[in-house]
Amino acid sequence: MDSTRTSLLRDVQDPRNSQRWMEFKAVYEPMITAFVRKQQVPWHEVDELVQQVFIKLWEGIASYRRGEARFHVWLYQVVRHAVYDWHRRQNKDLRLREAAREQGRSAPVVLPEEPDAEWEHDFRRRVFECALASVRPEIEPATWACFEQHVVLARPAAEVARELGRNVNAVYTSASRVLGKVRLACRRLTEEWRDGS
Amino acid sequence: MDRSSCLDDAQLLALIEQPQGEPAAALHLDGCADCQDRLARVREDLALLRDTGPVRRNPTADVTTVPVAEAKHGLPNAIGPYLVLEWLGRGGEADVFRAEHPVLRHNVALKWSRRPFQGTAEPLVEEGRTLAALDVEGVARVFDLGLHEGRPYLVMQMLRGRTLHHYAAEAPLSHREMARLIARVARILARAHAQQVWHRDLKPSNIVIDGEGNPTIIDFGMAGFSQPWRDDAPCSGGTLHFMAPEQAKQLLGLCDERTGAVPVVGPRSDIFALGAVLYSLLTEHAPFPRSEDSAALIDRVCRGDFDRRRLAARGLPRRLVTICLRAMAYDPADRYASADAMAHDLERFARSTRRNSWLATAGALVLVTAGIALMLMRHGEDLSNASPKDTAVESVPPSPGTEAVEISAVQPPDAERTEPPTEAAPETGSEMLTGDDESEHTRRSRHLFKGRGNDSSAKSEAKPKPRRWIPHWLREWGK
Repeated sequence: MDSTRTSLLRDVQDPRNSQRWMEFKAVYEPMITAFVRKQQVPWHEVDELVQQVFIKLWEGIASYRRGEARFHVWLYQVVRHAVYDWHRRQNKDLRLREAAREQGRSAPVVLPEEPDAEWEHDFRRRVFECALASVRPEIEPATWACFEQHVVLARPAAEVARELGRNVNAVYTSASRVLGKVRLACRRLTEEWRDGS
Repeated sequence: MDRSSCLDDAQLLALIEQPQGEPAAALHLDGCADCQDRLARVREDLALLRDTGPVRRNPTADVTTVPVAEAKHGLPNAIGPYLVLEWLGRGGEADVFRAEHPVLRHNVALKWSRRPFQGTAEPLVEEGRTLAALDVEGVARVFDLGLHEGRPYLVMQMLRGRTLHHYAAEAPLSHREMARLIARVARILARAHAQQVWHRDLKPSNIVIDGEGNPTIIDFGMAGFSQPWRDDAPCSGGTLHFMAPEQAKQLLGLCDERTGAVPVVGPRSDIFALGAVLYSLLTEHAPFPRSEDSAALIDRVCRGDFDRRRLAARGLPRRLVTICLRAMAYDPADRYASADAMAHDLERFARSTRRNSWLATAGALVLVTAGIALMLMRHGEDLSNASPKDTAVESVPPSPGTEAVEISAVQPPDAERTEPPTEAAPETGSEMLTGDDESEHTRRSRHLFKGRGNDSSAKSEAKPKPRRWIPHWLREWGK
């Protein structure tokens, strides 16, 4: 990973920086999608709503000031408002309201004002996912296999060693080497994405 | 405590797995606060890493409880021997991933069923067999079929390109380009039909266009195994919006009003769907719009009651509209007898449009040249005795015929590309999707569907709408 990269957040505040915007979208889209899916939004509407969220983010991110709120809190507020807006529009339309009732989606959606632990956990998990993806090309396939099988898939080292034709200590060593790189990547990504440091 | 003897991460991993495996390391850990802290961090990291995907080690876990809804949220790390790189989307019965073979290192599309393996009648297995037997250019190839965590997966050719939906949204296609593209899809379909395979779920998102503009049909055999009208059905949206009436009836178990039997789905159902794809290109709307509620939508599909008025819009070539309407005839007997026949008509339209463009250009050039020559001659004659005011009045009006030809002459063949399909404009006359009937979702889709090239359309729209400028890379939704 390029250690000289500037803050993703600062870069996407320039509305013309499409490349960094795409990176930003790739980072946050999965967790926003997962969040929206949990808010009584039918599956066929999720992508549209997520797209609306990103348009809102694109329009509003230039006005985000770092000192006023932490970015993931601000992001959460944007998503939360978008979800509420969507439900408000649904409720205005009698037919859509009826359809929602039939599908058992009639209970009002209530979201906490501040991001909860689940949002935080989702973010950390996303960091790990992206760190894994960024580290993987640098790692030899055999080393990666040790890490993936033992650390990620939680398979016993002895079993992995037998399958890959290596000794058990080599599995631990390979796995720990990759783990170190993943941690490093996580730290970088967290700094780069979250608060623009 | 001697820091030089502190445990490294490999030893910590070993201790986590076997706390008493290495007595010396365990002894050190007991007395070293640093190592205990590091051990706690490693444990925390492991928990998060193991939580990054829905793949679970526990072989007794009920595969049906795998959090499918979170497939996009946390990717599985591997499916079978394939390393998962990216979640691509959801099919009717499966999630689709970009994956890589661990040894060959080539990218493949991997479709992983969300249901436990049900034997050889499994839909994914049937699809794999169908595709393996289909030796047709323009249909994604199948490489492998396997079982992972009790669920089957299908490994297919990874296609580079964009779905027709996105392709058309990026830059509006000219009518000739539309005809040529749909003709090519029809030829592919005809070859599949020749091998007794019907697609049954043809729609813009199931047609992938590569960098050279070549179409490939994906998702063969999906529709036969799903119930797309149900909101909770695990299938991609829009399927019903392109479906032939007899297919909808068959899925619902309804009888045909004339024969009294449940209608049979065949190649002409695919022809209807292909006509529907053409309809969506011409009008930028699905024939059966998604803003309808489920019951009304099913009713309209079963009656083949799509909005024909959209095809009557000014600027749509009559011949292409005729082809579209014939393909989308309610009665299968009234449709094209084969996809080849439809392709033939589309190709003929594309050829004639090209020829007409050249003829119009050539004719216009001749007339413009003649007009200029005539004007110069008359101007020369009048110079000696006419006043400047008279000269200006005399030289202005071209003949009505010349004017008409000049308008077409300034449209080179490709000018049609930047001309928006007439229906793309917000239609004041459309009754189907106006006022309360038009959801915000539909308005947004229509707004986003327009590419940058459509800006010129604003001038010709009867009722221009204020529009937020959104860059194209934000509009592109690249699944």
